[in-house]
Amino acid sequence: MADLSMASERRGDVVVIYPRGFINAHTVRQFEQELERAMESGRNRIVINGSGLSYIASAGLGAIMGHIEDVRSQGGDIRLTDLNETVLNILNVLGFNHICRVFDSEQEAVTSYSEAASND
Amino acid sequence: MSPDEPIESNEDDPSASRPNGRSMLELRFPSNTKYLHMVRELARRIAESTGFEAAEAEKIAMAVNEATTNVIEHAYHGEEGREIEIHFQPGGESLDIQIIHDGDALQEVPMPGFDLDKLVAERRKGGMGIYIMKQVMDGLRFGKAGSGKSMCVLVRYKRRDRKGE
Repeated sequence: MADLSMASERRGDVVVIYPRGFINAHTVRQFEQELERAMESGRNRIVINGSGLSYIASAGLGAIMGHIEDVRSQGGDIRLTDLNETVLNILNVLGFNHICRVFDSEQEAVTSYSEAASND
Repeated sequence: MSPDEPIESNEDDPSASRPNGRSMLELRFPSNTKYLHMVRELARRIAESTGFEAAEAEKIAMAVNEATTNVIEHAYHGEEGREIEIHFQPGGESLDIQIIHDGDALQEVPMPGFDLDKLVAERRKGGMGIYIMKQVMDGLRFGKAGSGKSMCVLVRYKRRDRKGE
């Protein structure tokens, strides 16, 4: 099995990214490229579905940190869902859930964008 | 050592012991991020096998991953094929881990009030590794390892109230 494989799907104007494997300093570039691909195609409303993610190291969180201000300045965001305990643990250690909204399900994460738009 | 040379471990070597009486597991591998996952998994398993709960072992593995990444990226500046040694010394009350290299000496960066918001505003992609190590371990120090080598030492007590004793 590859260390990390990436897939993306569109849900309306939201792009959902599915990393499968782990994100560390060895695989982070692949993850970052997927984020950049979404942003370059003008899709700044991003959900990362972590159901296939075994763990993420600070390198992976750094990739999110390095791009989140850019997507927010375009009216988008990077939101997380379906994270396992190991991933939630590192978010808690860093206080990262203060930076990124975390949802229990992909549907909640995707619809959170339309709720925000209807409240504007 | 070539970058593709396999990781060596002396887990089964009965002579692998320390003067302080602690048995030691020693791992030697080339600086290459492709080994990070293996190192992380080994650290987790060693922590579990020495009596740490699964969730605690995950945190120890997280710290070892961050420390090893720092060595590859900052001590060796990404150069592949340089040597990294990790010594795991399980004791009755703690697990001591030394990450030894002969690259640039690393030192603890003072972090008065770790500010994630600031890192995000500055679009920084790094700067979290040492903070993670300090949060999940009971001891972190950088020093000399002899023969001109440097090391990062991580300590985790089984009872966290023993920190600093």
